[in-house]
Amino acid sequence: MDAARPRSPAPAASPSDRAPPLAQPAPAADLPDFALLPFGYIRVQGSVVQDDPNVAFVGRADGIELMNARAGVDGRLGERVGFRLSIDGAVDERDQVNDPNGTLRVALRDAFVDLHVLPRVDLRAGRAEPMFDPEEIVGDTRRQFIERALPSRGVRPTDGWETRSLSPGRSLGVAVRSDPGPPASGVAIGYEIAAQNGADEFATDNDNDALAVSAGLLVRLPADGFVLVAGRYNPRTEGELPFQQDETDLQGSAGLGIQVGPLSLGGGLMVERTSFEDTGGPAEQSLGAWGQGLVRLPLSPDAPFALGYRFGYLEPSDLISTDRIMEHTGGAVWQLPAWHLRALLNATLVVEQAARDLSNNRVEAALEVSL
Amino acid sequence: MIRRGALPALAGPVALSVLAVAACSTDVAPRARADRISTREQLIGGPKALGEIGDFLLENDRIHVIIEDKGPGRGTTLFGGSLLDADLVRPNADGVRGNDQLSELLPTFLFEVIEPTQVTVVSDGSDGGPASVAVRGVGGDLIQSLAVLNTGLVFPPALEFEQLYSLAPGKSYVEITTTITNTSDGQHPLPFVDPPALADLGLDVPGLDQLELSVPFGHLLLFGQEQTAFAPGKAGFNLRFAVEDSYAESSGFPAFPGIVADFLASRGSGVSYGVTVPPQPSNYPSAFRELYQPQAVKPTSVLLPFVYSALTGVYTAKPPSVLEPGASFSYTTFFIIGRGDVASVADVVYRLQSTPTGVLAGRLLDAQSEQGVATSLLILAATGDDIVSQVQSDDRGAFHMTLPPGDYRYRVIDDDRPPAGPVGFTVREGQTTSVQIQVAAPARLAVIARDETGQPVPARVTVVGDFDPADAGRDPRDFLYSLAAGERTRATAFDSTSTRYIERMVPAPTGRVEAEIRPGHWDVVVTRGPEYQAATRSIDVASGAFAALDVTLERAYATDGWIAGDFHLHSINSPDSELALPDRVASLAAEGLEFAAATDHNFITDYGPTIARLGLERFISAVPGLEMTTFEMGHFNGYPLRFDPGRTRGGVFDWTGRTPQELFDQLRVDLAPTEEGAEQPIVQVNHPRDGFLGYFNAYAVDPDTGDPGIPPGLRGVFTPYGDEFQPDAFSWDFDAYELANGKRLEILHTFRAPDPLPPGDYPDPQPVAGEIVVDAEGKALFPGQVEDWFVLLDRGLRPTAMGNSDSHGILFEEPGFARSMVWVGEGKDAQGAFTTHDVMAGIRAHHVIVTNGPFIELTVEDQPAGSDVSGGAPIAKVRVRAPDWAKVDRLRLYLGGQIVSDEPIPPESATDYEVVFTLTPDRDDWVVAEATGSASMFPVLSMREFESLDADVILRALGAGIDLSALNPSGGLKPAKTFVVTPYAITNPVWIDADGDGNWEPRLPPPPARSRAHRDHAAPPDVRAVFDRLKEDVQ
Repeated sequence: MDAARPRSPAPAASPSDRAPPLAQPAPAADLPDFALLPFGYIRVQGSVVQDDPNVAFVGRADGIELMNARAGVDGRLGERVGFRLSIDGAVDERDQVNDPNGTLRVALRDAFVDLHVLPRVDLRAGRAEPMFDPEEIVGDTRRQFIERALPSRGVRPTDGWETRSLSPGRSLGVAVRSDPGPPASGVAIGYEIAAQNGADEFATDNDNDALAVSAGLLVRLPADGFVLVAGRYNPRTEGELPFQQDETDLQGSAGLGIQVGPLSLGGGLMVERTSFEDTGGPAEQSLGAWGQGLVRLPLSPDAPFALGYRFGYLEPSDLISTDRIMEHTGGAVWQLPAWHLRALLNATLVVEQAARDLSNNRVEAALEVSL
Repeated sequence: MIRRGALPALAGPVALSVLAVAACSTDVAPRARADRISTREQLIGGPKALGEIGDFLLENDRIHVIIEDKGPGRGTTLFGGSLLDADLVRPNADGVRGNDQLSELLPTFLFEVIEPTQVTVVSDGSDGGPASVAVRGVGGDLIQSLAVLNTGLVFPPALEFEQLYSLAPGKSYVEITTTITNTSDGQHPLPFVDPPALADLGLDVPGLDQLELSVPFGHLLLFGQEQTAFAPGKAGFNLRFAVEDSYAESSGFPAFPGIVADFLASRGSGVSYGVTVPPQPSNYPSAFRELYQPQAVKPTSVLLPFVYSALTGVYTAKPPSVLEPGASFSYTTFFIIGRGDVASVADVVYRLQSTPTGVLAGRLLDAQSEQGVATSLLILAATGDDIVSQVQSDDRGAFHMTLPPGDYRYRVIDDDRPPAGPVGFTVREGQTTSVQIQVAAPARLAVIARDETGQPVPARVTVVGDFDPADAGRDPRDFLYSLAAGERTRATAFDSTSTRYIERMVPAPTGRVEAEIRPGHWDVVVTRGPEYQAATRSIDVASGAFAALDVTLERAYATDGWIAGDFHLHSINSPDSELALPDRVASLAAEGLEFAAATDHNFITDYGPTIARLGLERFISAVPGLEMTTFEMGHFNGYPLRFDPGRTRGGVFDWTGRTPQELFDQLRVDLAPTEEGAEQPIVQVNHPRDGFLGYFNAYAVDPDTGDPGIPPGLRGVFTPYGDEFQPDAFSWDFDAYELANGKRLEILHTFRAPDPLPPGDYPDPQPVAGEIVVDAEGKALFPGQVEDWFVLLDRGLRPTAMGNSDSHGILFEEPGFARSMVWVGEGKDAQGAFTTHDVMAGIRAHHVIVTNGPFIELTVEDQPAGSDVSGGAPIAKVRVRAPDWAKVDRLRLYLGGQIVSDEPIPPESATDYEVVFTLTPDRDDWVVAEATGSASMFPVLSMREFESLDADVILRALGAGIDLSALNPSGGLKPAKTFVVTPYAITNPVWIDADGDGNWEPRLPPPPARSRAHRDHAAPPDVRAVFDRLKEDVQ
């Protein structure tokens, strides 16, 4: 069992779109005692991946995929209590590594309560993402490329040798935090100190007696801009009884996203150091980085259209000299706000090291409707 | 806001709460527990689990074991009291989902065992100390044939036996203390009698009086077939052949031959077992240190003198030469439960022996996918061939083991990946040596097999390769694979001119299969039993690459009205099979079998639910059955039987101390299905001439008359003494006779001396080249099952000849080879069209063809085999058809046991031959047709490449230094047990009422029902009576 760590790439169903930040102080007279704000979106993708003649699972699953079927609700009770509950019907469950066919299932995404205890101090408890992965700062329905960047997504078995992402994903836990949301001008500071189980995303319990601890500092900029710096410490226990192994991840991340006129620029870096207490040996270093830029073309103000490029880099393990992956992705996104609809087109050139080289370039097109 | 004044008031409860939480989170001492099992939830469960309510449970926080209650043995041996089930404590264990893979562990005193009179909880562990269960009893003969040795050397009647199983908290081993007590008033020598006195018991063996004897004590360990036994040293996982090889180096008595090892362990899926001993003055190998040279002997060594089927002897203690009146002798044994590899057993051994250790740990990763690889890492000594240990990596590729400080090498042993290693490493005391190992990815093969209609059908995929021609003629164990390393056996063509070998054999039950294979150039052979031609495709696959094949099979011959059946099959419910039910059923469908009887050893199995779960109802159906497996009387199948899912063994039955007729009655009556209109079970005698396991051999059935008897001379001394073994207990009351058993071609026909005769000294009567090898009384020494059947037919008996595979696995024991083609009726040979009744009626009516490939049909006066015809000159027609891989070249016709035609089949007719005979019987008679081929059926079938272990080999080794030639009157001339497997088919008879009087008169007088007259031999020595006298002398 590989329960404690999201060894598989982050599910196709990526994190929830960001609803307005919760538990914002508001004038008491305007705030009802209890309010609900439903949200949801559906993302459908068609993909064509080159068939690799030597690998059975790469490129032979061209077709339509349901990326998200998300439904959720944000709630607010008075001035101090808020919550979010969301599910996704497009969680992709695979029986084993490099299995080319998964099973769609409905799964819980977010389930947490926020308690506003002091100005700029919220207490969050439940199942949530830690403030760590820069790609998670941008919601699915505002992302300019179909998928998250390579280090945040990993490699799916239909696209190449299945490779885990460096994103910690969701976990059960508590956090002291504050996320001011995008400011109209200037900057707004957010932060989070979280203690989570650090086990697999769908694990019901911790994998040992030790919690994963993370800390993040978030600077919100106007127009969805942000700067994030975060760190995480996760002592894990893997394997099945009676042979279990203790391992410890030490992770760091940094990322930003800015809007400069018609240009939208972003990038990030995630590093990880894993030490193996039981099996010993040198620690494993992992590194992922990406950078991207898009330009919005002045075609129609009612239907914004942008073209862009993203470079992704992932070195899953420095102990293995042949596993580096690079992706060059060209993308276009066309938005119809009036219809709550977006259409995206990506073409990705994938470059692996010679020993693991694959014919696995791909083209993806996605259609998205959000409420 | 909290008021200041409230803080002191809160401090007390908060502090108490903190203390309470702290107390709850503090580790408490583990406990051990012994209890009598009263609910099924207390059982362990698993592939070999046989525990029942009423047995005794020992458990702690790490392991649990079940000790069988007294009474008939539920495992393989005769008596209760054995340690029957053993497993790690698992989080999800519930009495069903455990992983017991142990068949049985029991103490042995030479070959004597305990017949329990009492099993009790001695300590329930409630005091925080060890929990323990004691088995007390008297001596019992595990093998009656060896009673003369037990009695002469141990003399159990004057002894009391106890086996104390203790489990301490926190330990992953059971400490076993075995005690014998002299209950007589006199001294009890061990050995009990001097060698010359053995002559008084009938052991008139030259040189016996010069022997110095010893009496080894220890345990018999029956690993389940899922387990592979391991002994550190050169043997490694090649225990069986290593033990046999050690016989050649035996110094003879008083040291019993065998391997001396530091410990015995095993590996298996998720659980492993081991045995070691503490340093004891009575250590058996240490007592004969010089005689075991050049093997290294330690105070903790164990002797492994034999490995026979699933049975491993572990002898550890030498009792004192004299046991004073009332005195006791005890020896201690540790039974260890590991997590699936040798290393987890060895970890405990090192701790028990206070051996300083360091750690080797690390991870094994697939070089291409970088995923963890669950595989085997073999630990070798720094130089030479000695194997130190083996560790299994988990699904993440992680492994961890302890080793004594020193230099070693490791090798990755993975049957479907390119080899890796050896790589040297050093272990230092108290330190961890860590390695990350990348192993090359396997290649993958995907195959779709279709029939002539284009539909995917069950088939078998055999991957065939070529080894280096420079190795042609060499023993494949020396270059193609290493049994010592635990590698998979690759079957070769068993032909010194061929380099072909079988890399893998994989059933494709749905017509589709994906399998991992080693990279390379392979021929992929797709087959579907004898009714289809073999289709061969060549592939080249690199590491990490895959090849896909879509193959359409061509029908070899039509069998309208006939179904292919196998009525002797084993699965995981047999102690000597590791094949899970889905794999078993898949393998049957893949061989084109349409009907199967599940016949596990002393276990009623039902394939029905598995067939349904695999969706194979269109292709195969099955009935529950049983192979009643006695220790010395033979093996008997019953089918169809009533399957009782509420019973541990699928039903209630007992073979110990029963006569054959009582066994037949159990099969036919007690275990008969009870639903209205159900079939009465068929009773089938299995492999009647299979050495120690053959019914006809057990009763020394006269090959000329079919009468049971007692072997003459020394062989008669090594004969079971029980009333149930007396000749008049023999029964002919069986319905079916397993004429062809698997690939055992050597027991089909009576053995004839080779022509030319190999040079050598032979005892009288001198064998004649090409003639039947006979004993001093002129009786065939190695009677054939065909000739025995002919004698039964001559006596008017009509047991239906059957062909079955007796398959326990896949490779080397491909199911359906041999098989029985059963006539079920015109147009009914499709699932749903025929019924179980049709199949059983076909068998009872003798409408059966025995074959391992060719399809032979016999009609007389247009009546098929199994019929009665009348007339003085009937016309017999024979047609033989065969696939290209089972061509026939000879046809014989038997009339009343005599060959009336023996003609070659022209090569152009090797796959379809038809001939007509005019018979001229001079009396009422029967006719049978037999077709054979001389070409190898490799690679559709593997060959008889390895000799099944002969009990004679063990006996000869035990008797090193003395002349046991009287046990082997052929002077070593005997049927070859390894050979190329060739096509064979035989019909059941057509009975001819030659005089047309409506009454078929047998050639020989019919046997009496359920009883027989004795052969005119001298009565065997009554061992018990002789020892009764000896006992009186002692007292």
